[in-house]
Amino acid sequence: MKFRISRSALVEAVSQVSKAVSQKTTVPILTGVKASVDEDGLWLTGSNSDLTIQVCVPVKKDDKEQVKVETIGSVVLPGRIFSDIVRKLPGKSVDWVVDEQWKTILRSEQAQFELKGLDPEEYPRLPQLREDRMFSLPADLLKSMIRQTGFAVSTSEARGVLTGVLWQISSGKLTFVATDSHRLSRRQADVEAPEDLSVENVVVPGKSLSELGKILADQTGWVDVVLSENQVMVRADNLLFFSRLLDGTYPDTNRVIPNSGKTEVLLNTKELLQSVDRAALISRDGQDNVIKWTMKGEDTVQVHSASQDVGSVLEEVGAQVNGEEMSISFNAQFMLEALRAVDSDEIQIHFTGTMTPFVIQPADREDALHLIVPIRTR
Amino acid sequence: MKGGRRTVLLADMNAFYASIEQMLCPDLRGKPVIVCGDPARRHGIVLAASYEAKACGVETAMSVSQAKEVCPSARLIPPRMATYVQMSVRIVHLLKEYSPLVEPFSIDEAFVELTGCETLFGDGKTAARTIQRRIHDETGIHCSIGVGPNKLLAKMAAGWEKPRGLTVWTNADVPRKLWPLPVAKLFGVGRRMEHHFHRMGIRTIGDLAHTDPDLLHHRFGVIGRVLFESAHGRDPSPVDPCSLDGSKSIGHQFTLPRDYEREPEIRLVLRELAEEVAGRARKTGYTGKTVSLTLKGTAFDSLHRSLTMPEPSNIGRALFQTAMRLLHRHWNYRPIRLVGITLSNLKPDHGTQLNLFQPIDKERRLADAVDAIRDKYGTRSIFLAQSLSDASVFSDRAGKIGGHHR
Repeated sequence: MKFRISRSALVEAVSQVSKAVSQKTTVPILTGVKASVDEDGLWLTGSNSDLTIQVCVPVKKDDKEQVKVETIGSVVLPGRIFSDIVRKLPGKSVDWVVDEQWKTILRSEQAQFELKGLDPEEYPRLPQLREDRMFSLPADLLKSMIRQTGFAVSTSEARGVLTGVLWQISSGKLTFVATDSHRLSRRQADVEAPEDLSVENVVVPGKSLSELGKILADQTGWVDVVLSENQVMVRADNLLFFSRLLDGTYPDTNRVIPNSGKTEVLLNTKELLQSVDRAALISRDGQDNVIKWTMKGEDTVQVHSASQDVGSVLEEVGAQVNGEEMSISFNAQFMLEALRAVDSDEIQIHFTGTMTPFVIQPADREDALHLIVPIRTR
Repeated sequence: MKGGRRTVLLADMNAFYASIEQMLCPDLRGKPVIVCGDPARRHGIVLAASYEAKACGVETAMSVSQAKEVCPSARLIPPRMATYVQMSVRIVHLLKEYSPLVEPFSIDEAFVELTGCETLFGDGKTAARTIQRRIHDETGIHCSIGVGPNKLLAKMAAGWEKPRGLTVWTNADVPRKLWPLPVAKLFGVGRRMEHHFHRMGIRTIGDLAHTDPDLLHHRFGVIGRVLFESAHGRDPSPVDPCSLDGSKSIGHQFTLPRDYEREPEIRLVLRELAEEVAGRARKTGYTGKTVSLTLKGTAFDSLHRSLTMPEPSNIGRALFQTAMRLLHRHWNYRPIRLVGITLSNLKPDHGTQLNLFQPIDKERRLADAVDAIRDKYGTRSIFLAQSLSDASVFSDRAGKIGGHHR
């Protein structure tokens, strides 16, 4: 195995697969990065018990040669030190030679590293998924769906399926749902899918999705998504991403999302975000982060928060209010996170009661919603 | 504080419950008196023994049958907790005439910070003598008083001479009086710590004082260092009048009227204890995150395990379910003699985050309604239907203070 590679392309690829390289040493070989070079370019693979990422540095990119292959082959190198070395190499390119004993020499200008490699046959093979349950969508759309729902998953391991995002498909419509049982976010979009494809209970770990969102950052084209019994695979240009799925049945969330409200409020997203952000300066000092809203008259929402030790805040936000006057208390952090996920200028909020969930929706579209369950104050 | 020198006093009521009984009932005076639980319901341990009984060898926490053996002539008296609490409050009140800083430490002990009051009441010894006499004159109870430069030495001094002792210790007394004592006598050293110390060759408080503090820190963490300081008679902690206000945990345990062997029986007791603990948390305005389960077997083997819930709660069902998970995980299916549930990791209950999938609001309203009914008509006015069954301990517990009769 012998080739020369552009250092910047290598650094980029290594940083992407490193996200999947196992930190734990329960399966020692998984703490390594697998490197294989062939006519197409250099393939790097990182894997842990939850996800696997494979990235390709193609021989040519925009007519520029990135990899010059002399002899093909594979090796597994220790992940942490390999990625540190690559980042600190001095030159523009790296010469890479591996002998029969997996001894690897990395040379760049005046620096030469010799690393003990491992037999690549010991590295687990990539899962082979049957591609009968598959759909496609633009990478940008997938990224924004992840961004608009992923924050609402539960971070407590004990919550099982609630630590993941539910994926559903019916009649070509993809739905993401995430909830920690105190707030819920849902996003829907039309995707390229066979008409008869129906998916009901696929739950992807929230952590995997946040990694996927990061490695898709520079992708612009379309991605394919393949689902199997216990894995999901996402395929983009020069990139393969596998994640395990969570076991268990996701709760029926349609049941808990209210359809209509007693009080409807229309607000400017940015003004509201700033107001909640200010109120949170006081509320975050208390342990529950409680702020209280009072819908007054036809044009005002009063925002109030008080902390025993610090003080209080009171302000009014202009709004269009329809329906009963009411007060409600909730966790300001949930509202902030939901508002940050909204791309529209105006939002609509449907309140159903002081002790029941309320729904935040962009005013100009129906495909996104955020639900917040209130706090019962004493 | 003047020159950093403090005067702290600890008043320790002698044989508190027994003294109160003797004071209220003249024909018990001068006779051996034992305040104890009801042996028929197996609450048969000695809660307090008068000095006449102690002279025969009766000790606190001894079983009643044992106590009867060593002192057959003793009068056995069931406890009247409300009376004792009342008396305790009266004494704390009296102590507050001498200093605003009075810290009730238990039902029969209180610290008083006398620093700066010397010109009013004289030095520590004089003030202590006045206080001792006044408590006896006004309540009929004898107490032992320890005076020292901090809480630790005051406490150790009070234990020096009982009953009716008056002991003043200074830092100079530490090597001569404190160090020869067995390490178990040091405040803060429990049975387990004593065992650890013995294995390290530490038998007296002096041994501890001469152990490398870094080693103690390494082995026992912060506690190691605190105990090292204590062994040198050093204790910077202030007398805190509010120490009992912010309680760290709320818990109940109960000795069963017979050994329970079947899960449904234990389940019911856990449910009842969980409701009781949750009710007390609501009443004091707290909610908690960690539930601990205590089980004691018939061979006095004991088990104490805890589990932290995802959300804080003060609802009986949530505490009960967490306790059941602990039971399923740790119970070895041997007969059980005592069960206990504790809620800790407490914080003020400002509000309850409601839940999409659980009817938390309904449960809370139900709990509030039950609390209101019980406040008005008494604890026994409303209870779970299953508490009518044979294994229930509800009626036994309702209307008791600290598990003893009012």
